[in-house]
Amino acid sequence: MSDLRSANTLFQISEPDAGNELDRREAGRAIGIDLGTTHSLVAVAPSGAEPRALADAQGEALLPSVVSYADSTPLVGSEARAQLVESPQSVLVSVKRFMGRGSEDIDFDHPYALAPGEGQARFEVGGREVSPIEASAEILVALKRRAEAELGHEVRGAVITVPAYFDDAQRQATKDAGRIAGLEVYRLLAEPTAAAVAYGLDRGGQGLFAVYDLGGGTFDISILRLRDGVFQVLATGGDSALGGDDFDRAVASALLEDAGVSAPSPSQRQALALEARRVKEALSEAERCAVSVPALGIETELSRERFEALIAPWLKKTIRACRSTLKDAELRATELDGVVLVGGSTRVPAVRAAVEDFFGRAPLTDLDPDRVVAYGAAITADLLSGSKREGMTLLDVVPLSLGLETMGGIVEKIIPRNATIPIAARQVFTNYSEKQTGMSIHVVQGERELADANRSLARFELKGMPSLPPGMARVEVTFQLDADALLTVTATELMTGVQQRVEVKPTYGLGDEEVDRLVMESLDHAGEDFAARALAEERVELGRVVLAVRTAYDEMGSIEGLLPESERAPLVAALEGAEAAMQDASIDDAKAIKRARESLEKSSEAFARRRMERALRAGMEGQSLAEIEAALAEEDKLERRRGGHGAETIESEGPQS
Amino acid sequence: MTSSEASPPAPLERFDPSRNHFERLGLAPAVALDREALESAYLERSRRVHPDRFVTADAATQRLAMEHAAAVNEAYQVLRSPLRRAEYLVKLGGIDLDSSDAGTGAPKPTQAFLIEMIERREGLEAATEAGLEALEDLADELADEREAIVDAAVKALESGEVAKAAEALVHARYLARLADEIENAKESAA
Amino acid sequence: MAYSDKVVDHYENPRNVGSFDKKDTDVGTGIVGAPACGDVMKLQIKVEDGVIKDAKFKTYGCGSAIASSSLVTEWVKGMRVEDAAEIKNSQIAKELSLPPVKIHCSVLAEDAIKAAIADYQAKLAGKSEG
Repeated sequence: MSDLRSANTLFQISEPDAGNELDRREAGRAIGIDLGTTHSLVAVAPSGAEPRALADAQGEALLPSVVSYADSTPLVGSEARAQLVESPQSVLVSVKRFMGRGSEDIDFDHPYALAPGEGQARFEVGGREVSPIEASAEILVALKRRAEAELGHEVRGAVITVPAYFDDAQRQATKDAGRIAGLEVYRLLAEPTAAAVAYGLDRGGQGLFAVYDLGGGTFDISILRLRDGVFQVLATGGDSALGGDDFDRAVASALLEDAGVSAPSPSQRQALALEARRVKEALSEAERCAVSVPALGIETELSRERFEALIAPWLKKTIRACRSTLKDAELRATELDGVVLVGGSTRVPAVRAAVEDFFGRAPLTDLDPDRVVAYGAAITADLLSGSKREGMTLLDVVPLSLGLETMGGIVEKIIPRNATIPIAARQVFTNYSEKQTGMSIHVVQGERELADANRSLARFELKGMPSLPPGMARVEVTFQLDADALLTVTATELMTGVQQRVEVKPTYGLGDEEVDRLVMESLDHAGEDFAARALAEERVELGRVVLAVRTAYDEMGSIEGLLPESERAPLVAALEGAEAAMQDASIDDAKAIKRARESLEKSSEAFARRRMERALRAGMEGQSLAEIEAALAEEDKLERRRGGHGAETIESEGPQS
Repeated sequence: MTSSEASPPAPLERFDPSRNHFERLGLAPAVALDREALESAYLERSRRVHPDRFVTADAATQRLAMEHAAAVNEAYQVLRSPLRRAEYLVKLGGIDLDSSDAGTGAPKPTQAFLIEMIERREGLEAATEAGLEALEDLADELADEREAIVDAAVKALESGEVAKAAEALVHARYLARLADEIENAKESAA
Repeated sequence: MAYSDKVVDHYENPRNVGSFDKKDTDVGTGIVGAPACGDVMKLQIKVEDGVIKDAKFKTYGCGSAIASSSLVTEWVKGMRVEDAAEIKNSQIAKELSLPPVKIHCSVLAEDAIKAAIADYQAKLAGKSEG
């Protein structure tokens, strides 16, 4: 039956890549970003160098993941955090917990007003709606700028880490945030895997390792094998809504209960949360800690013993996940060669004790648990930028099973959890009646038997099934998970080749159009600074193109056959227009500059192609190598600008018959 | 930290969808597969075809790498599990356990076996009433039984008796279903 | 996906779950299984004067298999035995709007009712002979 498989691929729908203008990898210039629930940071490891975290002007590497919308211009970091107590509803903290989540999934306490509507939850802050994706983009922009200031060059490529346990919607949201921030996301790297990379390269390691990663809002446990330069994740587990923030909340509610306060105001709650965090941190060192929240009249003391009792239920949950992940990896704790602690919350002594007790060995903590994830991201970013770095291969897994909803809301799994990515699954669909022309397919992610209990990823209609006797139509649908664990769906008609239509509608996330709009808006509204940068960048780009075209025109414009008269006038007009735009300092709209460049590129395209052909011929005759290179570079640049559209639709005309 | 000249990746061969999982990893088809040989073959091929090796290549090469890598991963996942490997060998032997085709599909179990399956379900209902301990006993018993069945299938395959192996593996599927139900019952009881 | 209330009801409240004594001469029992997924289904009919008076089932499997057997037991009640033997899996699949991946569940239900009828008829033949 293999001849049937040669039928045409009818439609291919893929998650869009980063914008085409960013599709250029500059070796050694990419950054690694740990986008954390409570803190974020950026690190670099250019061209095989040791990773290092980049600090702000005050020497602080950790950027609080806080975005304030209290003023017209969003503020990020400690400045934003300073506004927390005063305007708690306009200052977004822990937005990571909201990524890729609909308002109906948000079952934890938070002080925000959520906008009504389906799909990705949005905050109502400062009189407008802000998605957690946009807020995350603000954090990413701050880190990108920090890196650019420090490195002295523009930064485009990045590896952003995500909790291993993030599902497709959460990963897609993170990737969108990167795109809105003007980054090309080379990889969404699992946080524990990143930590293993940082440790593994540090030690030339071989063996089996567990990475216990307890951050502010997420918990991951991964079991990895390091061997022959390959980092192979054997199994991963966790909880994308469990972290050190829960410890703070446990302390806060105990304090509230002690004080007999039932309904604190938002700002009282915020003051309490800040104090709870301070107390938690202090109790990592001290046995007792004084507690003071004047706004609530709380003046008391908390012992480490009481604190540990308060957080015990959460610790138990993490250990339970460790147990089942080891089981998934078909290993016993004694077979491991080491246990690595990652995440600020692993500073809590009770966490260390619980991990040591379960795994039966003292955990490794020699790399700073706050930075190790960013280090691994930086190393991976360097590798994926095409840098000359000792090769390593990352084999990661999909954390949650992928399934299809079938009759009665029951899920049929098509890709099991812990399958190594990339991976594809194929499912052949057929018809049950001659009249049936299509079917709807609902893709979900999770381990539960009922579709409703899992994450809804996408719904799409398979339309235009050929009218054939029951069971005769054969549509093969391929579900492909890429190395970021993001889903792509392809439909292939095996019998007739009749044109199909597949539309994948993500259940969460923003949709391409909205992301595009936000990319533009971020240029427009994210403050003068950003607009000025965009303008400067466009001017540089325009300058490069004008120079290339002007030089080529002056040197080769009169060579026979390179520039027909019909093209000459439009080219000259575009060139003069572009030069005028360059001279005119009063143009402050990046888009106008961009239009001038695009118009010049368009009208010089054919000219460039002919030059390249000529240069190639010349090259073959052993003539000017520089000329070939110049022509090729010019052509290459044009090619990049034209190509690179992420979402492609491949249509087929059906078989010739 | 090691830094050296990154050698350009070896070019990828054309993707051949007709290859079986053993061929994909360059291994001879075998019931008793050397675990070490499987692991090294998998890692070696992964290093060679992983899409990360081709980040600066053109889109067609990247797609090709993805295709290779997905197939290598799938082959590894099937071959590393003794049960799935046995099922796959039966498939290569001409019997597809996922199909209900009378000629080439999964062989139908005997009526006696089906009656036993129904009766054991009723036994599970009784154990569920009796509580977690009874369920755990049931689960342990079943685990041993399943292991024995896979061993029997492996033996049959080693002596070239595909039909006999298929029969054992079909029993294993019914028992796997029963095991799932016991797990669910345990979860609700806990 | 929108299903009719009636269909959803078969999932949520399957009818006729239970057993008859399989030794009774007026009872026909069919036990079938789906080797690919390990589902098992037992379907029984109680016959009087060539008409199916009652039907019961026990299905251990997915929701679609349960709904298919529930539907069949509802349908066959009051049918003549020879009419019940004419039930086709495609009718079941259509009534329940089964997705293609679950068509085999309706096949299982068809096989089960056929096996139950065959069992009953074998008993009948044995009785008239002896």
